[in-house]
Amino acid sequence: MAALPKRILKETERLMSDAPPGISAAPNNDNLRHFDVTVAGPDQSPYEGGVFKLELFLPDEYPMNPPKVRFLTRIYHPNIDKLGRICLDILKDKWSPALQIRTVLLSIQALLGAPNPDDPLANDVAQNWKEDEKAAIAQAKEWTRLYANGE
Amino acid sequence: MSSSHIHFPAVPPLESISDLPHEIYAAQQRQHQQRLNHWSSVMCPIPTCKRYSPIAADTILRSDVSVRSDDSNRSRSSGSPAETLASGVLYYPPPSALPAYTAEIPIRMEPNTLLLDITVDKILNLVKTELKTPFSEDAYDRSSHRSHAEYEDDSDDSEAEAGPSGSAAMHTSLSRDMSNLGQPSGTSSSHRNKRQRGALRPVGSPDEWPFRRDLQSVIECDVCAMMLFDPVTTPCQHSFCYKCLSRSLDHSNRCPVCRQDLPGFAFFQDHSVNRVLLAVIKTVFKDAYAERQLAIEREERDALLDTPIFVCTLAFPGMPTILHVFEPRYRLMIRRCIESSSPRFGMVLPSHGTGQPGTQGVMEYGTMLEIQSVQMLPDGRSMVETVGSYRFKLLEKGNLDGYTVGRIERIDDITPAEELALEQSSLASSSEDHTALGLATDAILDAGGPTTTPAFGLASSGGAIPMPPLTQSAIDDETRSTEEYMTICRSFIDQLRSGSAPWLLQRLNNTYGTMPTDPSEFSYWMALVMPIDEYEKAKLLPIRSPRLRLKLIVHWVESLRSSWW
Repeated sequence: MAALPKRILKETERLMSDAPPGISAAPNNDNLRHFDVTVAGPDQSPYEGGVFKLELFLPDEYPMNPPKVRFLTRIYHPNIDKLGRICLDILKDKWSPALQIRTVLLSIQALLGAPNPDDPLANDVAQNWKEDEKAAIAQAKEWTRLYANGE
Repeated sequence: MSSSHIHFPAVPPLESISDLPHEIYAAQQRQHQQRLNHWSSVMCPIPTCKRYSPIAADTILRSDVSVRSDDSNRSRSSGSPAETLASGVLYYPPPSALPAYTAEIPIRMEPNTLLLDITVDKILNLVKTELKTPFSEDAYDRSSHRSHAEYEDDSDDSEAEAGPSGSAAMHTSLSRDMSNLGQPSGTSSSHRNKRQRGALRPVGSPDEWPFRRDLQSVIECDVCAMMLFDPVTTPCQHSFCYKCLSRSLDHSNRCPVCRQDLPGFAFFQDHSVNRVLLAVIKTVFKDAYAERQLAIEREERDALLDTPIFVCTLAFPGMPTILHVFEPRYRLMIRRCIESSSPRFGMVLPSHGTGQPGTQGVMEYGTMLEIQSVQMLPDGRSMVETVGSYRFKLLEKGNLDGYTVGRIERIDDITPAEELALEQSSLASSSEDHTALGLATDAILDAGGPTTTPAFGLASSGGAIPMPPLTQSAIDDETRSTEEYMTICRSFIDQLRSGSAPWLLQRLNNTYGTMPTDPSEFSYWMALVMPIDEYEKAKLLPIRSPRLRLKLIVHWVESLRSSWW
């Protein structure tokens, strides 16, 4: 295996020493391209108070290709599906090598603060969200309480 | 971070998404047109740049003369920092940093205006701030001396002085750049003045000086997060390492930072480096830059220590293979190959199924391809003409920046003497003792193969498509000489030729060349033109005797003939 690129080392170092508020990311000991991530639900969102676990993997061609990120904690969100996959343009076609793990995680946190049912990944959730936003938000809060309690 | 001008709005704008698709499309079209117009009006005053325009140079020179005199006056009289510095690029007030994430980037440039070099601009801002910061008189006195001496003696580059010389160096390098543009020299005294005045603030070790640290983060490449190496500046005025930008262009035609469309790969291919930036970096971080250069060279060497492996098709020694390289990872591989003194890479077939442990996903045997020519297309794809040189066994494989690399072991044919002995012994003994022959065959198959089955030793080539098993008649073929095998093959080719349209023949001849006479080359040539499965053909690769390869080919010929009507 090729050595870990300097950029990944640098990013890891900075993530460990100076993590953005509400976000933590630590590399796996077995595979330094694999990160265990937690993201705190943003204030004034249905996910407030929740701590969400994610996994992040840097493919061989990172930073030319985007990292692969997935929610491990169950979450009720129109842009996140049952498998934890995330619908976020910067993880797909809008990826740029100038983006970083940090910016990706911040965008994911921002996505929690601004669910977008018009570009859904989880259709049923998006449907609920559009038809009865109040109920959907209540559901999201309930799931946050049930699953994202940091245990 | 140097990517500070990328920021994400806390709440993405939802309104824009509710737009109708055709409106979004129209907006994109408008934006694209806007960008095209925009690029067409961008001019560069640097004569080596492709967008060089004498008008641009003129404008700069004229405006710069006034700036410069103004500048030197001020630094002499009031000591206040210069508003505008001579740099070879005309500076307008920087546009407010635009979020990279906005759907539509407004372009507010007037036609025929010049863009800002964003990195240089940041450096200038740093210098301005630094000049404004109060500093201790003691420190100034002490280091003013030192710095002066250093200025006279360029070769002195000790760490202690690299720091304070930072911004000073910038002025000198910028002025040097100006003189490249035909600016009359003789302004250096005013620059020296300025340098003594403002640029010195030694507190603690050089690495800790905030100015130095800030500068370091400004000259970081946003792609590799390292100091810019061979900085190249895009038309949108963002700078990247030349290699980083090339890699990024393999994947996308947009600027990594602002996502504006970039001119294609060809535009940057012999694009000159940003000399202003390079001069700044080389002056302030001389040692670090040299170190970085060494590290990059080491990396490139290491990248070639392992053999790059192209997992794609079947190739044979002596035979041409022409490739259209379009995948980003292989573009990078080809670029690295052609930079080396012996441009070559290994070619293996992807494997059926899982393959051998350690070499999963690819076949175990492959052929080394020597690059004969590379024709780069403007967008970075390339047509690569290669010829096979030798076969190899893949011992171990790894991954480098997305493509496969491996440790290989060369496989050569047995010597002609051994070959002759084999032929004679098989001719002599075949009629009586088949077992002895099997043993003899074993001995000349690639010894590295895990198991070698009698006759052809095909077991090691992994996931093979079964051809009809070798029958008694195949073994009886042993009575034939190598020459007889070749005759059978030739007659088969004649049969194929007589049944094919002339254009097909023409094409075969053009692609594979004329029929070779050497048994070894002939065996590969035959394999290439045979209308059978690639994986079946791949069974030839581990066989180290031309005679045995021909024997296998004759076996194919016979089974093809028997199945034809």
